[in-house]
Amino acid sequence: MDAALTFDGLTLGYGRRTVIDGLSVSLPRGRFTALIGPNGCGKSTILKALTRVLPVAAGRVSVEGTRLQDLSARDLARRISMLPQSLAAPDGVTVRQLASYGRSPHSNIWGALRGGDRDIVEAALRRLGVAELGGQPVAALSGGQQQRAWLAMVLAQRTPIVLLDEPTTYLDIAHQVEVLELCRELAAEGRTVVAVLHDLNQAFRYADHVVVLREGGLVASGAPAAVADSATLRRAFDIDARILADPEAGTPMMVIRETAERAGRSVSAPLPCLVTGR
Amino acid sequence: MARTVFWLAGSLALVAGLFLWSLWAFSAFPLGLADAAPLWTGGARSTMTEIIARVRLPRAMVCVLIGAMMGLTGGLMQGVTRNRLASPSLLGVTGGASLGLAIVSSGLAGASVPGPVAATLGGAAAWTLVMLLGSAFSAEASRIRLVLAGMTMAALCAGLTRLVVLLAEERALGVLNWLAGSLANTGFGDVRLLAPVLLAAGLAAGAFAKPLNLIALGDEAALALGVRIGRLRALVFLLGCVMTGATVAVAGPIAFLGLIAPNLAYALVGTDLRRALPLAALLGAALLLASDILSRAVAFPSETPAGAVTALIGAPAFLLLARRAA
Repeated sequence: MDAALTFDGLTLGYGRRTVIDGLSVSLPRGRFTALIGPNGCGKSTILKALTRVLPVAAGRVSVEGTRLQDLSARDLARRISMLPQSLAAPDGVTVRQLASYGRSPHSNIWGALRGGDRDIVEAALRRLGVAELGGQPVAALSGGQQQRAWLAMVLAQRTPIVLLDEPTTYLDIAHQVEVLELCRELAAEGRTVVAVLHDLNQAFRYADHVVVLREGGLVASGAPAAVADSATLRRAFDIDARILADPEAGTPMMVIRETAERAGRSVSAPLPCLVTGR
Repeated sequence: MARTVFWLAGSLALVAGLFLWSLWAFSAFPLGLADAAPLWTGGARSTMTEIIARVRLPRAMVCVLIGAMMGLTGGLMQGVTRNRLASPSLLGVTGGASLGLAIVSSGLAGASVPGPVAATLGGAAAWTLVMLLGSAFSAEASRIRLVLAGMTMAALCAGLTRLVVLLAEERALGVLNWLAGSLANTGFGDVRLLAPVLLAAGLAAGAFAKPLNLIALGDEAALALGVRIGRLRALVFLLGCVMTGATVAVAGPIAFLGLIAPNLAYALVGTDLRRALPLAALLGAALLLASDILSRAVAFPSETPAGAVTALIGAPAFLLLARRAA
C-alpha cells in the first residue's frame, strides 16, 4: 500500500491519561479514510497529533515519508489541512476572509494575497456554493453554511492531506451527504482525506478505507467490505449487528439485530398506537 | 479597503491637528500659533517659542508615542487572549508595572535597577499570574473570568503600591503624583526612551497581525494553518510587558487607553488586525493628545493628571464593552 500517513507505535494522551496506546496503522494515499469507533476511543486525538495540537508521547508518525517532527509548522500546514470539530465564528470575519486564511501557509509574513491566491479562494468558495455569501460575516450564517465556509478555507489551503474531525455531526442529512460526496471527490482528485465519522453506514458507503478503533487500539483496518462484519462491530462497539448489502451501492450496511424478547412483538404485531391511531 | 485608507488618513490628520494645537493650547503663559511658527519657519525665536520647543514639543511627542504604544499593546493583548476586554490596565499589567516602579523609585529595593526595567518586570509578573488565574489559554476560557483575575491583580498591586509609598515617606509625594498618570514632567529624554521601543514594537506588530488573525479561529485551526502559537504568545507577552513598562515608567499608569483605542478601531475597520492595529495606534495617539489637552483645560490654569481624564472617558466605555462581550 502506498501510504500517505503511517503511525508506528503511536502513543498519545492528555496529561497522564493515555488515549492512544501503541497504535500502528497506515492510511492509503489518495483515498478517503474514515475513522470510526465508540466515543472516547481516540479518533479525534489522532488528528490532533497530526496538527500538533497534542504532542506525540511515543512512537513515530510519518507524513508522506517525512517524520512529523522534521516538518516545520509552515511545511506541515502546506501538507495537512484540518477542519476542527468545534468551529469558532470569530467576530466580523467574512466568508471570503475566512476562506482566504487558508492561503496563509503559502503567503508572506503580512498575509498578502497574490492573484493566484485570490483565484484559489474564489474557486474554493464556488465549489462549496458560498461564493454569493462571500461578503457576509460567518457568524451570521446558518450552521450548514458556516461549515461550508470553513470547508472553503480548508480547500483553499490546497494540501495533499485533508483531515476532517466529525464533519457531519451538526449537519442535517442533506448537508451530511454533500460533505461525504466532497470527501469522495477530493480523494478522486488524488488527495488523501481522513475523516472522523459516527455513522457507520455512511463510512462503509462513502469511504475507501475504514479504520476501526476501540480504547486507543486498532480493531480493524481495510476496505469497507473487509472491515464490516458482525464480529468486528461487536468487538468495537459491543453491538449485535447484521451486515447486509446496501441496495443502492452494494457496499456493506449494518442493521442492529432485534433482541430475542422484542423480536416477536415488533415484527409480527405492529405497536398498538399505530393500529388504533392514538 | 477604501474605508481603511479613509480612517487611517483621517486619524493621522487628527493626530497632526491635535499635536499642533497641544503645542500652545491651555498654557499658563499666553501662547499661540504665532509663537510656535518659528519652529518650522526658522524665524526669530521668542521666549514663548523656547517654552514651546523645550516643554510643549517633547510633551506632545510623548503623548503620541505613549498613546500609540497603548493602542498597539491593547490590540495585541486582545488578539492573543481572544478577548476584547483585555488591555494592560484591565489585566493588571499596568498595576504590576506601577508596583515595580514604585518599589525601585521609593528606594526600597536597590536603586541599581532602571525604572523602565523594574516596570517591565513588575508588569510581566502580574500578567503571568493573571493568565494562570484566569486560565486564559484553555479552550473554554471565560472572558469575564480573565478580566476578573486582572482586576483583582490590579487592586492587589494598587494596595501594595500604596503600602510602598507609605513606607517611603520622604519621596511619597512625588510617587503619588506620578501614580495618577501625568504627562506634565516629560521631556526629550523620555522621547529618546520611547521612540525606539515604539519603532521595534510597530515592526513586530506588523509581523504578528497575520498569525493573531488566525488565532481568532481557535488553537486547532491556527495550528493547522501553520501558526506557532506558543512562540507567538511568548513574543506578544514580551512586547506587551516592555511597552507597558516603558509607558508606565515615563507617565505613570494611563488607564483604559489600551481598551478604547483598539475597540474603536474594530468598530471602524473591522477585526482584521492588519488594519485594526495601525488604526488603534493612531487612535491611541489622538486620544492621549486630546486627554492631555483636556487635562490642562478642566482646572485651568492648574493641571489635572491625564490618567484621570482617560479614566473618566474609559470607565463608561468599558461598561459598554463589557455588556456586549459578556
